Amino acid sequence: MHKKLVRFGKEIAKQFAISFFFSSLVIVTVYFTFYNKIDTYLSLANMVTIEEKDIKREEISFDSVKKTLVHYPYYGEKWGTIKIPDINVEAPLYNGDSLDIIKYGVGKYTGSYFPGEGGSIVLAAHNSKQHFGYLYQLKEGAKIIIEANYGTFTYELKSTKIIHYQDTSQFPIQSDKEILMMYTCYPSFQVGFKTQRYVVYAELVGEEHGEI
Amino acid sequence: MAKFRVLFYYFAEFLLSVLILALFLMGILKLTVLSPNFILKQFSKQNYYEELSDSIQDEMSNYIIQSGLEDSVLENIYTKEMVKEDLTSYVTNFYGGKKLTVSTDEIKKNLEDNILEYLEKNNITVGDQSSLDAFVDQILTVYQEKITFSNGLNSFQNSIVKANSLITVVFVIFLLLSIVLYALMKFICKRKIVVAAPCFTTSLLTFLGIYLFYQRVDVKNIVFWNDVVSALIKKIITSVTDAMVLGAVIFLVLGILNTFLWALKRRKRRPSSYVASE
Repeated sequence: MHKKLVRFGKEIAKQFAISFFFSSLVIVTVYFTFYNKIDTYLSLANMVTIEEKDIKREEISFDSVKKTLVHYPYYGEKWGTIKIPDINVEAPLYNGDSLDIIKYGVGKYTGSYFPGEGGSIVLAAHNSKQHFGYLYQLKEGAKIIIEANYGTFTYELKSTKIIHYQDTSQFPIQSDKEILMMYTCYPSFQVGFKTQRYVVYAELVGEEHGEI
Repeated sequence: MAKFRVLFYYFAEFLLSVLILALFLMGILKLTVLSPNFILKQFSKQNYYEELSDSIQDEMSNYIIQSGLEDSVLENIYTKEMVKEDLTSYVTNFYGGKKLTVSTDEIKKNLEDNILEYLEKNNITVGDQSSLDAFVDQILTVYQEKITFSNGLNSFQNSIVKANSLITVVFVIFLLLSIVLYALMKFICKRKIVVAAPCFTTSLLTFLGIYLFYQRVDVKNIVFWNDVVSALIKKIITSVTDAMVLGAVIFLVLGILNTFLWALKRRKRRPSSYVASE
């Protein structure tokens, strides 16, 4: 029995040695033949991973020299309040304009600028009574006040439009002049899915903001 | 001649190692990601049907606010069982190469009935029927897109079906090749064949592959589409790698067992007719 156990031990070691050699051959072959493809697929797989990090939350602040925010709000984060006295609206402002976000207030299109940055600002909200339901009642000259975490900005309504819901050309994003564009489904308080949007265009007429 | 037998033996053993490894990997694929039953089992384990049902309801309610209607029109227009049935049908058709459609007739009827009841109860007259029809279509689209992952998988259907058929054919060919190779080894080398090395090779490469995969891909932080789908993908990946680990352990045990049996039964070496490899 002892001899058989010794033989077994020797044979196991031999077979492991052979398997290491075979494995090395396979690895070398695969490396030189398929490495690039495997590397590409693994890199693609890593593109859908997000590492959780403890990031120190920086306060949103404004650089009045560069005319830009120093730290931006996260997607879905509240960054201010909008007030439209003529239609009795006071609602929170969020970063992002997805349906999930505008359930709770007014959403800013993330591809547009923030107040004070001197460019196009696009805001969207539902046509409910507490949000933009009465937007269509605003007349030229009406004031819109945005109280951001870093300052207060006042806009004056200049014009309005009714557009098709898929016509995004009516929201030009530019950086030459600060234009506030706000829109909602139209007509308000009608039952069903609305294929029109009511858009108001306003220009910046006053600002008070914090500086670094 | 003896040298030829030795060389042939080890060359054939290497080929056998590669064939067994390939058979093992193909078997894992066929039993996991290429199997609709496996995917549906993961859905059940992750409680995906219920989470999807809730997700559909949340998404639908986003369209209520701007519609002038109330949440009550969405009540009971679909059930969790319907979601499970439609998703099961979708997955089965996907793997079967059949047309990928989700019927929403029943949901449409329920929704239209609810809307009518709401309008009558609140004495609301609809000025533009097309806007109501558009709302109904929007809600049905939400349901369809949630079940079909926004049709994002449709373009992969042909590839998956072809891969499935190809793997089956290749599996059979490799299995036959393995048997032929084993028989050749026995005939040419005239000795008892120890398959431990091929088993150990498969086991070793599987463990190494899994280790390198987890080193390279941050599986626990995968984020794809939404939390529910992300959790499902993570679960599928870990189930597949668990199956591979189990297979690798089985091969390891088989190799040890094979060697042990060989060591027990081995007779004393005869002088001239044996392969001088031991």
